[in-house]
Parts: sequence; structure tokens; C-alpha cells
Amino acid sequence: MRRLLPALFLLGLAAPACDWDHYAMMNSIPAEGDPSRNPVVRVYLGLDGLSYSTVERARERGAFAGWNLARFIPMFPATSDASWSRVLHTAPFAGLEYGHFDPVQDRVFNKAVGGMLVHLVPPLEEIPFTVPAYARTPAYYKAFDYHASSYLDALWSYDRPAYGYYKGLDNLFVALAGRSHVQSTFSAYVLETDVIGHIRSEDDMVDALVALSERIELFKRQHPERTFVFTFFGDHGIDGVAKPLDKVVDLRDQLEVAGVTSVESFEEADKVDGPAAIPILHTRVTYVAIHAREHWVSEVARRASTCEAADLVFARGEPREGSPEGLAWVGVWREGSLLASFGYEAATDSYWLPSDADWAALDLPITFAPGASSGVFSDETLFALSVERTYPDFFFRARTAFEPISVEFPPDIVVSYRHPFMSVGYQAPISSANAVGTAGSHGAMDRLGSMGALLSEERELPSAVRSDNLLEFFPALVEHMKRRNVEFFPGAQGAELDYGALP
Amino acid sequence: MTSLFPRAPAWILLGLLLTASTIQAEEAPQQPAPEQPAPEQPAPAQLAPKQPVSPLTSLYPLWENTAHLLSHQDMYLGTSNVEFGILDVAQLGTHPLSFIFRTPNIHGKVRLLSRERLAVAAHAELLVFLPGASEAFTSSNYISRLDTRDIVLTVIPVGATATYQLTPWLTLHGTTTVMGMFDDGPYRNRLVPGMTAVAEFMALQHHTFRAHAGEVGFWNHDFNLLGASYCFRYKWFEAQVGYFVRFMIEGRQGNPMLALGAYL
Repeated sequence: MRRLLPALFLLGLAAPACDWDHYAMMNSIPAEGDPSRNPVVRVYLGLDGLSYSTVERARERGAFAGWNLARFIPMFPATSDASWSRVLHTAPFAGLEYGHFDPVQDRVFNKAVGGMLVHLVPPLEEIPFTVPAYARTPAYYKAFDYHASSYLDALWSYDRPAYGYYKGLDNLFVALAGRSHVQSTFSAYVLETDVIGHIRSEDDMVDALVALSERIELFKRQHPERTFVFTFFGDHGIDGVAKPLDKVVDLRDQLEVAGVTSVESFEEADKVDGPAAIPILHTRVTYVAIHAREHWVSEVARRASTCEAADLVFARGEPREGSPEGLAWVGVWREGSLLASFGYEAATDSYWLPSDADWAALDLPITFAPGASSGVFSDETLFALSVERTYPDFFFRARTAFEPISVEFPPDIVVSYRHPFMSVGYQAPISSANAVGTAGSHGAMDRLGSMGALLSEERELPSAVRSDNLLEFFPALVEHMKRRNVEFFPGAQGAELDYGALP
Repeated sequence: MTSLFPRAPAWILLGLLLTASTIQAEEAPQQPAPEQPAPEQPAPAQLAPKQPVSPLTSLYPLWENTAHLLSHQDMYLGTSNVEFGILDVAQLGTHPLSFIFRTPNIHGKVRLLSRERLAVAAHAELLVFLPGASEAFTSSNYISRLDTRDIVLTVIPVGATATYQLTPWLTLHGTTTVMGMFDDGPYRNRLVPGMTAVAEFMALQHHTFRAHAGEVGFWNHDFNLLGASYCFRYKWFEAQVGYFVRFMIEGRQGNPMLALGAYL
């Protein structure tokens, strides 16, 4: 008995390692299934930061020959956690990223480095204590059979992304081989592709995709007893624009010059004499979300658009004179001016656009009836009109940026950066660490960081797909997610598109 | 990815065991009382504290073992194993944490042979992977290649292990196992052989270092195993830590292992 208590104490110390034992056991049993029960296995891979341009370049090198490819347009701002939640219709994230503002508690959570560090904490879903909501594992992880291969996977992935990627692929294919003995559908998430895009280069990303294509072909040859049908999809693109260190900026500094006081709560904001706002610095992305009191939203948006880093600033807008009632309005600002505003009518899923806005400045070739002061356009029309332009799916993405879809507390204003600016996100105490993650980024409205890819052997695809609609195209993935007990959440109103009617 | 050593290792491992047996056979006549069950290969808990000691249990599950047994009514309480000695010839145990992971299990080991430097034991294990066992990790960062969400899979590895003290500082453990897997479907009922070898270097009084190798599947190759581990023993306390790599045709899986235990 004298030894029993210290022994039990020591056993408790080893508890975090208990997954290792189970991992070894579960992966050392060579069980086999009958191929006649599931002769076809559908494989869905979510590749973080899978951009259309890198897939095209990989295909030029012979990768994914014969697969169907579509532009895959993510939400705005195109940022991983919120975007995956939107794509897969899983439980909303509190904010766009771990770093977010909760207007109910009037408090910013996971500020700067904190937001980054939370990414590195391994999910511990089965531990019998409650993790604070602001640090909880994203619900979309549950949609995937595989998403990591060790406790500190994220840490290694950020430290050595190429090594992490190939190590991850090893684990992914081992899991696929094992699971395909009984599963007809397999889903996996690969984080490292995003890290390669941020830290390495587009060339490295193309190499990674070519290697993945070769691995898939090898895997198919190794497992002729079943037919494997692959589909890839990404949550956003990667702009591939290297960011000089002097362009990696803290927007709060520029807001101060523009006359906007940065605060961390509405309570603080109310004490400020003049416009004040709560900017959320996320990770190293090309947007900044801002929360502000309703009466300051337009003024903060106008002033924010004068910031050197800003390309466009989006905000909840105000109704135009002469417009129908009951529309949801969005305003778009550039260099201190309201460039355009538009209203959305949910009942008809259509947009009311004034003709006096500078649509050409937004590279949107909108035409109105001669003499008309406004026009009403269907969602399909505007999707088709904008998808190949500088700001793809401009209207739907701008509108839904302010709706609580996949994000519990959406911002009031979003600053979309111009190239080659990037939000600093965090300041590392070691100056050399501040150069990390500057090879490319995403989040801004423009096409470079927004154009994701959807690639499939399973079915034909339209030339462009709104990411909100992915599940409509792949019912087997939906069934698989149901089997994995994923809870589905409704998507954006009017997100559906009649792809057959698109020009 | 290719098999690390596709066919040869089975014969190398088998050779190690046979060599051990041959050497033992040559030495046997010189032993004064070879038939006595006396602890010429004493149980770890009984070893003199100045001797480096070989762990009672293997660090890697299912396919590795040792021929060591606990003395009658001695108990080992550890994270990976709980063991109880019976009549100096047998041992009954379980993997306690596996119950948390929805895997009830029990195993036993019986001494077949005990000589001055060679011990041989037979062992068998029964594991029942209940529905959900494949998803029961504390962290979803780990995945099982088995899917037992809606399945009860019964796994019964049966085997024998020879432990041979080649020199005072080097002990070899060779294990041959046949693993039976039983399910009403969708998994097939099948038997798979495997063989592992562990070379254990007794470095200092309280420390041993081990090199691990194994092959599972042979003609229907499933994976090779390579690993390195370290064991620290002080009085009643034992800690083992190691890192293993499974080489499958689809890729490699790294697997750290940690086991803490106490001889009560």
C-alpha cells in the first residue's frame, strides 16, 4: 500500500501518453475486409490553401490527368477556420479565426500571439473537462477521418512544412488503406499545404501537388482490389505574392493616422471622443475585421479606406434613397470615398444596384437599361459576371461577410488589403521570426488569394463553384459526415446557384 | 514505400532464436540442476538491485513480449500493463488503459522453459474492440486504420517468446505470434503471423537500451517495425520510453511509447 499511492500518481503522469498505446495497438492489427462489399471507395481531401493557379501549374506537369477542375470560390474574408465551417456546414466558429471579439461579453479573445498559439494546442475531445469555448477544437475536424498524426502535429507543420506534409501524407495513406477495408467513403484534411503557401513558395506548392498526384497513382496500383475515386477541395487560395517586411503592417497604426482610435471593447470605445473601433489582428492574412458601434460604422469604414494597406473596405451599409425597403445593404469604400453600395432582397434572391456607383473601378462590367437609376440582378447573373474578374463572386461574398454564417460574431467592417500588404497578426519577440509566413497569404477579396480549386474524379463540374454549395455536389460526403455524427448548420440564405442556368 | 526487409527478416529472427536455443542446448549439460523451476532466470522484482534488469513486459503491444514472469502473488501495476504472478509458472494480466478506449482485454503467460540463460514462455491474449474503439482517442490528432465504429472485432494473438542472455550486458528477446482476427463482417476472419526481436543492452545498474525489429504478415506482408527504447528501473519503479516506426507499403507511421509502472 505504501507504494500504491506514488504508483498511482506516476500512472496519472503518463496519462497524456495513453493515446500512443492505443495508436500502436489500433494500427498494428492487419484486419482485412471483403472488397466485394465496397468495391468503390470515394476519397475526399480538404487541402488547406489549395489554389486554382497551383493546381493548373501541377496539371501542366502531368498531375491529376483527366480529373475535372473547377474554380472554387470561398467566403470573404477567405480564412481557414470560418471557411471550412462554411464549406462543410458545420457549427460556426466564434469569430473568423481563434482571435475574435465577442460583443456579448464585450471582450477580445486570443489576441495576436494567443490566437496563433491556440492553433498549436492539440484537440483533446475526449478529456473529461471542459475546454473554454474560445479555445475549442473547430467542429469541422469531425467531418474528416484524418486530420493530423500526433499531438504536436501543428507545431511541426509550421516549423517544417514540407517534412510535415510528406509525413502527413504517409499517415493519410496508411489510414486510407486501413479504413478502405470497410468504408466506402474516406475524408481527410491536410493543413500543411496552407503552411507551404505561407512560408515557402508557389513552386514548392506545385511540387507538393505533383508529389500527391504521384502518390495517388502509386496507391491505386498498390490496391487494385478496389477502385479509389478522389476529390479535392480547398478553403481559399494563396496569393503567391511575397510580402516585404515593411509591408507587413499593424493596421492599428494606420487607423490611428486616419483618426480612428483602436480599442478592445465597446466600453472603451464609448469613452473615446470620436470614431473608435475594435480591430482584430488575426494571423498573417490580408484582411482585418473590425467591430464598431453602429453609429460609427460608416465613418470608421471611410477612414479605414484611407489607410495605405487598404484596397477596399466593406461595411454594413445604409439604404440608398429611392431604393425598395427591406433590403440588406453593404457599402464598399476606397481611398475615403464610398465606391458603391448595394442591397440584397432575400425574398427574391436578387440584388438592387444603383447605376451611379463606380462599378468599373471594381472591375465589374455591370450594364443598366438606358436612363435607369438602378437595376435588379439575380444571384446567378452576378456570380457569372464577377467570377472571372478581379473580385470573384463579389456581391454574395461581400454580403455574407456580415452575416452569422459559420461565424457566430461577424464583424461590422472588413478591410481587404492591397498587394503586397499583409497584416502582421503577431509580433514575435525574435525579429527574424517576423519574416515567417510572408511568402504568400489570403483573406483579401481579390482573386489571387480567393481562387480556390475543386478537383474531382467523381463527377463533372461547372467551371466555377461557390464553396457554400460543395455538399450539393457530393452526397456521399454528406452521408459520410452524417455517419461521423457531424451536426449540420444551415448555410447562407440564397447561397444556392442554378448552375445549369449559368451562362 | 517498400518493405524494409521483405522476406529475409523472418529467417534472421528465427535464426536468432534457434541460435539461442542451440547455445543453450550445448550449455545445458553443464548446469547443475536444469530441471528445477528455481529462479535461475529470476523474476525482475527479485533481482539483486546491483544487476541491471530486463523489463517484465514489452513496450510495443501485441507483437512483442518477454519470457520473464512474476513470482507467485507478486504484482506489477503499470500504465500499459497490470500483471499478477501465479505459482511462479504463470502470469495473468491486462492493459488497463485499453478499457478506457473501449477495448476489454486479458492476457496470460506460462513458463515453458527456464535455464540459466534461457527462458521460454507461451502467451495468449484476448482483446475485444467494442464499437467506437477506433474513435476513442483522447485527441482526434490520432487515427486508427481500423474502423470499429459499428463493429465488434475480436483479436487473439497467441505466441511464444524466448529470452536469452547472450552476455551479461546483452539479452535477446524473440517472439513469434499468430494473430487471429474474428468478426461477423465486414472484417474477414483471418490469421496473420508475425515475429519480433529485441536486443537489450544492459548499460548501467538502472538503465537498459533496446533495439526493436519485427515483421508482420510475411508472405502477405503488412508492416515492418523498427524501434529504440530506454528503460529505467529503480527499486520498485520502472519507466520505459521509446520510439517506433511502422513501415507499411503506403507509408511510415512514427509512434512514441511511454510506460510507467511499479512492482508492488
